[in-house]
Amino acid sequence: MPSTLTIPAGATSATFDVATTRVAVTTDIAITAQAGGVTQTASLRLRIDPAGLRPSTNYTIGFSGLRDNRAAVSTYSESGFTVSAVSPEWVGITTFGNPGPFLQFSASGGTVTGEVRISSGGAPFWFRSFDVYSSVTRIPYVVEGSLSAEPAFTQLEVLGNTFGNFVRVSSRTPDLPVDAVLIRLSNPAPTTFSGTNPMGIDNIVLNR
Amino acid sequence: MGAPLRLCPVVLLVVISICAVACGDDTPTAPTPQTAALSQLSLTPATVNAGTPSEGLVILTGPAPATGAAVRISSSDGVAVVPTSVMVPAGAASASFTITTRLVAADTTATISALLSADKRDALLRVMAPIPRPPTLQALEIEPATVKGGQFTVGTIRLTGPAITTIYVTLRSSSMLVTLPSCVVSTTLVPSCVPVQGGTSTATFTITTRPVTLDTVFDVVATLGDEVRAGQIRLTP
Repeated sequence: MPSTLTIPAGATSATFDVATTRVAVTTDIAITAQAGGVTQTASLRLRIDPAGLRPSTNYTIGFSGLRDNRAAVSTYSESGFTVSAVSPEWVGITTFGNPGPFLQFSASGGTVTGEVRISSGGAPFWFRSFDVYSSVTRIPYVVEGSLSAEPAFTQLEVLGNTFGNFVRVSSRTPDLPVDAVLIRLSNPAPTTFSGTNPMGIDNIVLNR
Repeated sequence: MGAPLRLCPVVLLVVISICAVACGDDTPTAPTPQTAALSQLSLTPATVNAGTPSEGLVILTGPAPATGAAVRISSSDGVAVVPTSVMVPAGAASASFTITTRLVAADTTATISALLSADKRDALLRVMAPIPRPPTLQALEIEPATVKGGQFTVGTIRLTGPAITTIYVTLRSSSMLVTLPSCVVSTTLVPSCVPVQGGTSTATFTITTRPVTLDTVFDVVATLGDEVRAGQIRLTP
């Protein structure tokens, strides 16, 4: 990018090129112009170019680092990936899992949405599968993948009641690179149900 | 000439206080500003498809003060995303805000709350998931609606869409002057019932009537889940 730009006499504008390079993570850059004591700024987002990206190594987030049973979990990191609780309150369960520990949230008296976000510091990765569990209900879920904040894929399904067992959900688009994945579970706790219905995830398989 | 009035400080203080309240004062004073309270919270629409927005509207009991009124907004469920607050501009009595909804795989109801000082108002936002839904009962038609007692008439059940598998619609009548059809469901005879076959959205059935000596009007009622539709029959002698 040129450091200065000349606007020809009688003109009110001029253009210039901004050369960019490939980036490993989505990068926002501020371009600033200054003239006559006035400063104007525009932002430029450099997106990850998916061309040429290839999956390499599988990683499984098994939540083995969770030690305290029923302790609230807002963020959890493993193998360079971060799982962030978006909503509502997720807890680590060490006494159950596939195998334990795993990440769980509960609902009572109606459908409650539980959501986690998976990222790798902005670097691209590939979503392969995750294991999901509900105690006594069917399992409606949505998985959304994005790359540089642009939607990459959406996977929506309602799984039947697994009666407390984990079931594996595999990606239908495992070859699409992403830099963020949202797993959104709907916990349809019956309104007539006196207790709470736990629902949770384990073994998130990713590739990077 | 009497002795000069002497008041102890305590008494004087009391007199002053009483005057301030009750003695009156001709000097005009600025009215005490009335703080506008939160009156209503409404959502339009109150039911949305997951991923589409709704608009919230907060209404105050009067104009907001010169500094505006910041109304705190919250959502009970992550399916509905709301701004943390909405500002009612000075002099205005309402303000709107956008509620974005997330794609979910199950119908979810979120409680949207507005809070201004101690005033709290709630409204329900129903977020509908993009999942297949069984059709519901749209109409019950009876044709002809007037028949001579002892003759037949025909009822038609209409659903909102094709049934995925056979759906059984329950019938009943407020009169003993008609005989309604029965269904066989898994080898069990179910009285007053009409099947709508999978892949179709309508079904017809015959209503048998009995002779009457006077004009008689009554209803036939069809029920499918929470949906109820009624049709009227007039029997003539």
